[in-house]
Amino acid sequence: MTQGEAPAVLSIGELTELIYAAGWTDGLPVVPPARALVDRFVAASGRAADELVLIVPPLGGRGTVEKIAANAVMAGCLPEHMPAVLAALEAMQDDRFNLRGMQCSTHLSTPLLIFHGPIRRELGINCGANAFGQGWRANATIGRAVKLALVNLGGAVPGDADKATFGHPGKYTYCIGENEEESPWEPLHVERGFAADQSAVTVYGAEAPHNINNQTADNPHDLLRTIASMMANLGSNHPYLMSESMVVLSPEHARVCAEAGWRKRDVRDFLFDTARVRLGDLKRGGLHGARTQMNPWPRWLDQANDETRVPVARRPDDLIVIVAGGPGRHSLYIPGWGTRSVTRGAGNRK
Amino acid sequence: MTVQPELNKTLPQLPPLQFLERGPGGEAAERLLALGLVDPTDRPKPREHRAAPRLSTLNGKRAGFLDNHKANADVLLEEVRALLAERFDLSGESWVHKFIYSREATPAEIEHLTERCDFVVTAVGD
Repeated sequence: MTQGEAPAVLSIGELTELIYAAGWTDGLPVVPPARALVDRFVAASGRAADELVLIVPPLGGRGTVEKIAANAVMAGCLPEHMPAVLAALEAMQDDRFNLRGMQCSTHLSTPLLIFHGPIRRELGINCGANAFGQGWRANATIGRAVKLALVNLGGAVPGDADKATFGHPGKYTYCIGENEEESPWEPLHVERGFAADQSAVTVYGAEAPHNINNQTADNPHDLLRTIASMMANLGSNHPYLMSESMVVLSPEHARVCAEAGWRKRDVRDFLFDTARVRLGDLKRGGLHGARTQMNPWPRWLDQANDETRVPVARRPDDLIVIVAGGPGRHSLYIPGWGTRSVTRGAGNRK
Repeated sequence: MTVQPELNKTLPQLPPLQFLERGPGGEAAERLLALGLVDPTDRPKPREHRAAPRLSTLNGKRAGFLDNHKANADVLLEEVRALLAERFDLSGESWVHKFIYSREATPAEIEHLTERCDFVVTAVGD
């Protein structure tokens, strides 16, 4: 690990502490980004070390392949994870994602990575039981590498340029795969124009997952009404800002809908119609309160009538529905921040 | 117009923006790089982000107000505007209202203000 006039050898403990002192970590210990390791990660990416992948806001650090590789090493990635890490960061450059705002907001959102297609199996990304939890190296380290790169290169230091009031645990790592094998419907990347055998990643600015427990529904109406009730409340950004938000159905819940003949579009339409908040209630709280002129609502909403039921999105397509997780009659609602998700190819290996 | 003396005194020059001086780095980082580790950070150069020279007085100056559109930002700015107008002999004012508060001001908005103003006040009213 030494080069030139390298000083005395350090113990692992001393090296770990020195990395903490340099401010390079997210609060957990990291793998030291030794030159030889970083070079191996760069080689695995198939790209030049000095290739610029993105300028990272807010402070504008240069996210070269080598710099990103150093963060991936620290996160505990394997070299073959590099294309996944790079694809996720490249997707965030899309202006609709508003990475700069997300890096700095008082809101707690952080990028959630959702992988689709063959790359999930190739890298061992968990799509099933405990997909959002601990225990899978690919989920833990790919998500962590992306967040370390965003903070170390963008300068979004918590409490400094990152003004999040609370943050949430997904700011350490937030990465899953879609459970395509147990989904009755086409996966998200296919909806967005990719072939089923193409690999892709969706990045979505996301709150923490909110569990929706329904053990009893044997029909889509009862099930989706439960989910809709979790989506429509005064504290969420969505009745005010609308934009995209996400429902993650467990395979068992998705089957309740599919076995009744419902397509994904039917699920979205039902949630769009049902997950609504009465305008008179919205005026008494939440993001903008009675200042309804601040809300970018569609023209067809009658803002003069307090009985108008305000949806949580401008259109049904802005309710993203995916299938993930393992056995059990739970689903998730993952509120967003007010920006749009982006899906991008990730290696496209078949 | 009566100008309050404590506000009309010569204003001190500001140091470089302080938040850019924090973050990763320091002696520990130098030791790690000497050990052969690759720096995972890329700090911007503070000199690229220095504050403009401070005006010696606001009398006779053109004021700008950048409303980020967040709740209460306009309330705060209106109050600041009223106080400034009361205490200084301003020669004009210009407003820019951003539509999406989480996005940076566009180059056109910045240009609009720099062409018309000698100083700009912005606010977050959270």
